[in-house]
Amino acid sequence: MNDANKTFTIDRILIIGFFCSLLILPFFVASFYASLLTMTFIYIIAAIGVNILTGYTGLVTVGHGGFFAIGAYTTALMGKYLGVSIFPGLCAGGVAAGVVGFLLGIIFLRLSGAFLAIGTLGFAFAVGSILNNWSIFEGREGISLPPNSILGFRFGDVGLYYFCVITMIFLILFASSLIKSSVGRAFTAVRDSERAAESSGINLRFYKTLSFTISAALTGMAGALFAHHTNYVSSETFGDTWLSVDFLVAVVVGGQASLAGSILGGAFVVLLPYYLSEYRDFAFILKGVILILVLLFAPAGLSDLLGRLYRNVVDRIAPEI
Amino acid sequence: MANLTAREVSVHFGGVKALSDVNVEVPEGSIIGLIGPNGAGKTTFFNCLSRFLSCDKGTITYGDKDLKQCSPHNIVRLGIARTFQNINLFKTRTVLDNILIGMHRHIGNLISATLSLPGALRHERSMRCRAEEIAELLGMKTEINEIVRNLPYGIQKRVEMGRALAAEPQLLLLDEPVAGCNEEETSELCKIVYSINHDQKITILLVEHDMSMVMSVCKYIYVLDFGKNIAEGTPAEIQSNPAVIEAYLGEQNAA
Amino acid sequence: MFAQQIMSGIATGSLYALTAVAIVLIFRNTRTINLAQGDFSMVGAFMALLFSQVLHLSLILAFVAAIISVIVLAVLVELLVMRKIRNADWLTLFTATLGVYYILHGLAGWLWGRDTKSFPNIFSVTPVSIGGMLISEAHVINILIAGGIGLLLFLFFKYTKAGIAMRAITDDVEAAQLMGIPVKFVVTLTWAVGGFLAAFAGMLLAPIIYVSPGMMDTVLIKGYVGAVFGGLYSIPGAIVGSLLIGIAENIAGGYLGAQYKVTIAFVMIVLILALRPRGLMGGQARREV
Repeated sequence: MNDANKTFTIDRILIIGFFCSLLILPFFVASFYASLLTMTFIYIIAAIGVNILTGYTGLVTVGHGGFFAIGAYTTALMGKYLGVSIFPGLCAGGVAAGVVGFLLGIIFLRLSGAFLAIGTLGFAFAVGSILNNWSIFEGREGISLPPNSILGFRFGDVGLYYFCVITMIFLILFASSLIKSSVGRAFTAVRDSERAAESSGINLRFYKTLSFTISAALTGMAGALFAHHTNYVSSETFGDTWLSVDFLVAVVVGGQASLAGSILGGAFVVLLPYYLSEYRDFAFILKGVILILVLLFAPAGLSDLLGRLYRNVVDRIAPEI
Repeated sequence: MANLTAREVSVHFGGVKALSDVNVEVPEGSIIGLIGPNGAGKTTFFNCLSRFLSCDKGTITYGDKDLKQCSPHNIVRLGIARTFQNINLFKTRTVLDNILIGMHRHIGNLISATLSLPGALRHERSMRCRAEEIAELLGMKTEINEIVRNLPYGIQKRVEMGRALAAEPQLLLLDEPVAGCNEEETSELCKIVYSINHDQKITILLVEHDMSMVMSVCKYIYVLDFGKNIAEGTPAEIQSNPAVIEAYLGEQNAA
Repeated sequence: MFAQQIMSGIATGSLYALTAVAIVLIFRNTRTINLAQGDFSMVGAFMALLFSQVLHLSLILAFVAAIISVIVLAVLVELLVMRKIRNADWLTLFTATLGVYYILHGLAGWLWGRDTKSFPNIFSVTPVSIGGMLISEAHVINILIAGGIGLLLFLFFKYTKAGIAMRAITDDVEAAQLMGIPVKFVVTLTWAVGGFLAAFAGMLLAPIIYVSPGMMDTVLIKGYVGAVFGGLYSIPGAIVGSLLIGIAENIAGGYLGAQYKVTIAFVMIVLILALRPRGLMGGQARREV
């Protein structure tokens, strides 16, 4: 086999193996770990959302926390007032965030680079402010969601774990398909050279807005899942702008324009504070230091670093395949 | 007859007149040259054709279509593709991907593509075949899976042309396709340009500084200086035209 | 009442301007969106407390010591981090300052605690009557100090070699280099000036917003509103923008309620950027971000 095909087949095996192990994990570990992993899956989905806009389309966003919140509050309010359960809530959260993403994409169409980033930051702050001040969102007191159920059957942590891991796998497959398609190519074309993209027939406005919409919808779905994970939403968690920044950190540390990067980055952003939760200040410092180290020494992200290591290992172990 | 006709095209930047009443006619099936000293306005003219710039005055028509009504991304739908003087490539992607993006005009159903439905996958495979053909035509078969930014300049120039050809244009605007190339690369590209026109029947408007290329492939040449037409004619006529010689000598003196 | 709100808006706005101007200076000379600017100020405030309350230095000495500390901090950040990635894309630069932000936040929490501390009011808050309006003495002095610094900067840029060098590399780095300007040094100097401005912002705002690791978080975003008003390029624009947001948030706070003060900043940012992507006052063409 030539190089490309060899890594492709081994990649496939590993990926399928990885997904399978995630599916059988709850039988082997305490349900507490399931909960932690659920959080990780949620952040991974959000990171994929951000990566589509930032890594692939080149539009840097520091405001996706806003979409996360929109997804969460949509499902929370629908659960509370309409008795809607997790699956429709998830979809509604995605749609609501997607619609706002679409509008934001149009409003910010003429912005680029740093100005766009600042604008999205403003958006995230604005969402946080609205959550704090409009009474329907109940500010800091928050809204409790009804217990999770599907088709009337209640489920707890483990059930939610499965719901989230399956959603995540599904969304990863969707994102992968999107990226490999003409649409994904159009996104990277917009990022690499707007002029060349236009002269190839790519409508910049359409694709930028599309990217915003899909990206917002994905992060919105992550938010909705998070709401069901904690069964509670309040402006204290969701009005926090540093969520948005966390998502960006996930993408930069994990690796831009890379699904593996979003997975690694999402895990990093969840697990670091968790394992250092007693030493909150130290966790901050470490986060900053790791961020800077990655930028200095592995600017393409951890996924790129590990990817190169992995290819070296595969070449050594299985050169004749 | 789909001729490209530009009449009295004028562009101002602040107080500077980049183009004044430029007239160019590109009959279907021909190779027309557009030359002139640096700063004459050739690339500005191309940018008007691609609609990256709006011209303040004048008309540009291709066949029966008024180009001025078009947005930049729709130009290629009319069958017009272009290359750029300072190559504009998707540097992080492979040669194949660059050519595939050039085929964007033909991507078919978006939703089907996004979800990788069987019809879309078939379409993708045929697009890839076509892209490989184009790469082969341009002598890039071995580099097809290389990331563009790692390739030598000469190859990048060809990727640029490949991307333009991928759109299956009827009219190709080439902006200095051999700039920075050595003699061998230049003569290769000359043959390719001639073949594109002769075998694939693609009309070409060529901006170039390399006179050997211009004089050998172009049927008719327009000369610009300071944003105005100063001469036009067959290669032989242009070579002996005093105004043209003056314009280029003037550039030489200034250099 | 209305006029009074405008005046106190101008007072806080002039302090935001210190942050906004630093943001613009650092951005135009290094393409860096400095997210740590607020934390420089925060460190300044903590240092002032440290020098005056723990080391019992006189207030003036504590101030000076704090200013020097922040300048040193800013220079260290430039030398240790930013210099090494100075040719990278702006996202890398921006994320690096984010890393610095996290580090400073963590250090401050660890060394000084995350609780909120009060900062002594050096200038009395007793209202003084000016032109028929009642405005607190502290506000007046803040405006004067900020104005004084503005004047100092103006003279610095116009008449000193260092200042002129800083402007030169804004316009064209290569040309500046060819003229013999030590670009690396000037970049470090730019960060030092940013630190200088940050120290003042931190110490003058501290009596109003109290001292804690997160004290400057919202001020930073207001500084960005101001900076964006000037297109991230124009200093007068940044000043005007900062004054405007100071005024707007005061008026919004007065008529809509205090919780809207912060919302106003973000609405303003979104509006400014939506309507004029290059800022309202910075129309200059400059290198692509």
